[in-house]
Amino acid sequence: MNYRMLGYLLSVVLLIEAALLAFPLVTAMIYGESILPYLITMAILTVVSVPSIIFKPKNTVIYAKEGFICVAASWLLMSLFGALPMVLSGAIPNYIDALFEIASGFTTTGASILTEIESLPKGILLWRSFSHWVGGMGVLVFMLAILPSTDGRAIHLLRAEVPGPTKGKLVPKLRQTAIILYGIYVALTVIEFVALLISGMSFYDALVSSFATAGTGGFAVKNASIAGYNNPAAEWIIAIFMLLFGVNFNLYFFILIGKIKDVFKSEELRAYLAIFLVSSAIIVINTWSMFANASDCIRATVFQVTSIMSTTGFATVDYNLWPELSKTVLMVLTVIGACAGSTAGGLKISRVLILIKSIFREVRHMLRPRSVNVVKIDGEVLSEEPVKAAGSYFALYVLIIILTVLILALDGFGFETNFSATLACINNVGPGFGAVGPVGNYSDFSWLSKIILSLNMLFGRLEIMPMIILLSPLGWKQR
Amino acid sequence: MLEEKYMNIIVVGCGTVGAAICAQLAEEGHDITALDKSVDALSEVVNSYDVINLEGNGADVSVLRRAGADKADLLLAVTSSDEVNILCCAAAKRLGTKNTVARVRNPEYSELIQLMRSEMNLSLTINPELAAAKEIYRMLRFPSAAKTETFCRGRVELAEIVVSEESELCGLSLFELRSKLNIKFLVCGVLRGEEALIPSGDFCIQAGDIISITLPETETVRFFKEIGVYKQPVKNVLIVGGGRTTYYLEAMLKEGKINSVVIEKDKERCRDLIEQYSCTVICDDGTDHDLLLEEGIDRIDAFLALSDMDEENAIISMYAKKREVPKIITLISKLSYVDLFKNMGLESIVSPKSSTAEYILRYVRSMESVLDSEIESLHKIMDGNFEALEFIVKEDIEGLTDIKLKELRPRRGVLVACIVHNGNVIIPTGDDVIRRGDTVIVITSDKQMNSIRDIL
Repeated sequence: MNYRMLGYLLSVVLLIEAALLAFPLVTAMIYGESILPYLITMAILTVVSVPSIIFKPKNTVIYAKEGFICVAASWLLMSLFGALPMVLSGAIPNYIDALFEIASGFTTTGASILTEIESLPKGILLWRSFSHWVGGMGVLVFMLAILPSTDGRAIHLLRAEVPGPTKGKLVPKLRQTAIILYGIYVALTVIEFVALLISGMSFYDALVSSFATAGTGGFAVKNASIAGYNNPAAEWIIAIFMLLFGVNFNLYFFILIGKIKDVFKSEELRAYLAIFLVSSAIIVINTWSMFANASDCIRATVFQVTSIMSTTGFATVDYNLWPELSKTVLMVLTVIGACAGSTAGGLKISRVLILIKSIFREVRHMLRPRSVNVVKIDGEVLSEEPVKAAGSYFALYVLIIILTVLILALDGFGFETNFSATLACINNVGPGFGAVGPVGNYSDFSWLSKIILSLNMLFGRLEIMPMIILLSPLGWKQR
Repeated sequence: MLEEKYMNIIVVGCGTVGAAICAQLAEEGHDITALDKSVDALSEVVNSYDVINLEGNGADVSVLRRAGADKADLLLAVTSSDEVNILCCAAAKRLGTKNTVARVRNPEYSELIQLMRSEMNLSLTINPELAAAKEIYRMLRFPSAAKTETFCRGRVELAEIVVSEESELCGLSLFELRSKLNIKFLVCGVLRGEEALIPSGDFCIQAGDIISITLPETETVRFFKEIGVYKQPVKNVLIVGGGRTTYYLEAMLKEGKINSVVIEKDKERCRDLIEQYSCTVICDDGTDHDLLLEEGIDRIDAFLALSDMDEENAIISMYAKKREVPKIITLISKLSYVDLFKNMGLESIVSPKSSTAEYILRYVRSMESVLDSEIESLHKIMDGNFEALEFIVKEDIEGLTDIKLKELRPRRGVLVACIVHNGNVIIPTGDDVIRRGDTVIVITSDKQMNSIRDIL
C-alpha cells in the first residue's frame, strides 16, 4: 500500500480544512468574538500536515483500496480536528459532544446534541453550518478540482466519495468533472442565497441556511429550526432547493450541455418526483385537520417531505405530533433518501430501484426457471456487478442498524427513539422521532451511543465500504 | 510549451494496443473517450488512466454519436477485427470526425488499402505485422546493433548497442572514445539498468550498458568495425514461425537476396508461404532442438523466432544463443515480457504492439505540429525513456537559428544529436549552428515536445 501517497493526500485534505476555518474566523471577527479557537486549530492542522506535504512522493499510484482508505481516513481526521474549535471556544466543552456535532456537520446529517442553539458564538454556528456545505459535495472532490491532474487512478477517490451504485465521469478528464460538479454546486447555493435574501432573511441567516440546504445537512441557527423565522416565503424557497439538491448532479450537467431529453429519461428522477407527490398527498390528507388552513397544511407537508427525502432535516412543525401514518411515511422516506450523485443520503432511489427490480427478477425466475431475466435501468441492461453490490449493501446496512439499535438500547430510551435515531443518523437525515424529534436533541445519549451514532453518520455518508475497509484488519493486511 | 492544443480523441478497442495508446495520450493531456464492447477491458482502462469510458460496438453509429464522433479530432480503431476497424473509421468520418486511423492486419487487405484510403476516407492504416517485418529487416541489415532507426531519409543512423563484457568499450570515458576513434559520432543516450540518461563527456561506459549513438549512415560500417562489434551482413536466416510477420518479411528478404528457411507447424500457413515465395518451408515443430540442428542452426547468420507464442520464441532464442548464432531476433507480443527477456540476454526484441502504439503516437504528435517546424519522424528509444525527434526547420526562429549551440541554453534532458545541412550530416559541437532549411534531430526525455522551439 502506498502509505506515502496516502499521507500526502491526507495532508492536503487537512490543509484544506485549515484554509476553510478562515470563514468562521472572519465571522468571529465581524461579530467581535474570540478568534483564538480557530487560530489554534489552524495551527495544529498546519503543523500536522506540513511534514508529509513538502515532499510529494515519486510514486503517486493508488488503487481502489487506497482510495477507500483515503476517503474514510480524511473524513475521520477532519471530524476529529474539526471538533477542536467547538471545544476550545467553550461552546461545546465535552469533546465527544463536539465530535458528534461536527461529524453530524460534515456528514450532512444535522443531528445535534445542543439543547440551546441561539446562545452560541456566531463563528461556531457558521463553522457548524459551513461543514454541511463542505461535506455535501465532498472534500476529496474539491481536492481533485483544485490540484493539477495527479494520476488517472484518482478516479478511485471520486468513486469512494460521491454516493450512488454506479458512478462515472462527466467528461474525459477527472479534474474537469470535479470542477463541473463543484461549479453547479456553487451556482445553486448562490441562487438560493440570493433568493433567501430577497425573501427577507438576514445575510447571516440566508448564508447558513443556504449552506445547510446545499449540503442537505439541516443544522439551523434557531432553536426552532426554520420555523423560528416565521417566513413562509423562505420556507417555500428552502423546500424547493431541498428538492433540487436531491437530484443527481449529472442531470444538471445534461441540462447545461443541452441534452434536455436525456434528463427526463432518468427513471430515478421520475421515481423521485413520483415519491414526492404521493407522500405529500398522503400526509396532506392525513394531517388536514391539524392545520388552520389549506395553505399552511400544504406548505408544512411539502417542506417536511422534501426535507426528509433530501435527508436535510430542517423542520417547520413538530411532526412528532403527527398521526402514525404520516410519521411512518416519513420514516420510509428516511430510508429511501434521494437520488444518487446528489448531496443527499439514504439508500438512494437508484439503489432502491435496483433492489426492487431484482426482487421481481427473482420471482420471475422462480416461476420459469429456464427464462433469462435482466435488470434494466433507464432502458439499458445493468450488468451483474451493481446488482449484486446493491444487495450486499442493503444487507450490511440492515446489519449495522440492528447492531446500533442494540447498543443504543443500553441507554434506556424507548424503541421509537432508538430506532428513529439510528435511521436518522445512518441516512444522514438528522432529527428522528420520540426524544430525538424536531424539538428534541441527542444530548441525553451516553458517550458510547454518541460515538456509535457518529460512526453511523460516517457509514451513511461514505456508503459503508470505505469505513469498513478503514476499520477492518483485512484492509490493512499487506497480502 | 506553446499553445497546448488538446485534441478530442476516441479510441475504439481497449486491448493491449488501445490501452497503451490511452495511457500515453491521456498523459499528454488530450480528452480521450475509450470505447469497447467488453466492460472488463473498459474498467481496466478507466481505472488506470484519465479517460472516460463508453461501452458498445464501435461500428454502431448510435454509439459513435454518443461518443461524440461528430466533434472528435481523431478516431483510432484498434480492435482485434480489421473489418470493425474499417467500418468504424468510415462511419466516424461520415459523422464528422476529422481524422481516422485503422489497424488492418490481414495481408489479403494490404492491396486494397490504397482503394480503401480514398473510398472509405481513412486517413491512415496501420499494419503492425508489416511494421514489425520492416523493423526486423532493418535489424538484419545492421546486425551489429541491437536496434537501429534511420532519420533524414536514411542519411542518419541511430543505433542502440549493448556493451558486452568483452567489448573494447568497457571502461572508456566518452572523451577517450571520441579521441580514440577518428569518426564523427555522438553518444546521445545510455540505458544502465532501469535508468536512462544523457551522458556528459566524462561518462564511463560499463558492461551491460545500452548506448545509443547517432552517426552518418556512411560511417556506420567503419564505426562498428572500429569498436570491434562488427558482424558480417546476414546472408542466411532460419525462421521459426510462418505467420503474418514472416509473410511480409519474406518479400523483403527476397529483395535483399537473403536466403531463408522457415519452420512452421500449420500446413495452411506453409502452403500460403510456398505459393507466394521461393523460400524453403519445413512443416514441423520449431521448438524441437534436433530439428533446428538438422536445419543448420549452427551455420546460419541470423535466427528469427517469430512464432505466435512469446514463451516459445523466448526459449528457442535462448537455445540459439547457446548455439552461438551471431544474430538473434525475437518476436514478443506481451509488452510486459520485453523487459524480462532483455534481462535474460535477448538483445533484439521486436514487439508489433509497441511499434503500433509508437506509430500512432507519432501520427498524433505530427497532427499537432506547429507551422514553423514539423515533426518528420519520431522514435522511442532507450526502452521508451527517450524520444528521438526529427524536425525540419522551415523558417528562421528568433533565439534559435543562426546562433551557436554553445550559446543556446537547451532545457534539461534535451540534446541536439545531429544537424543535416544541405545534405551534409553534422555531428554538432558547440560551435555549430542551426539554420533555416536544416533538419535537426533532437533527443529528449520530455515526451511532449511538439516543436523545435521546445528545446529552449
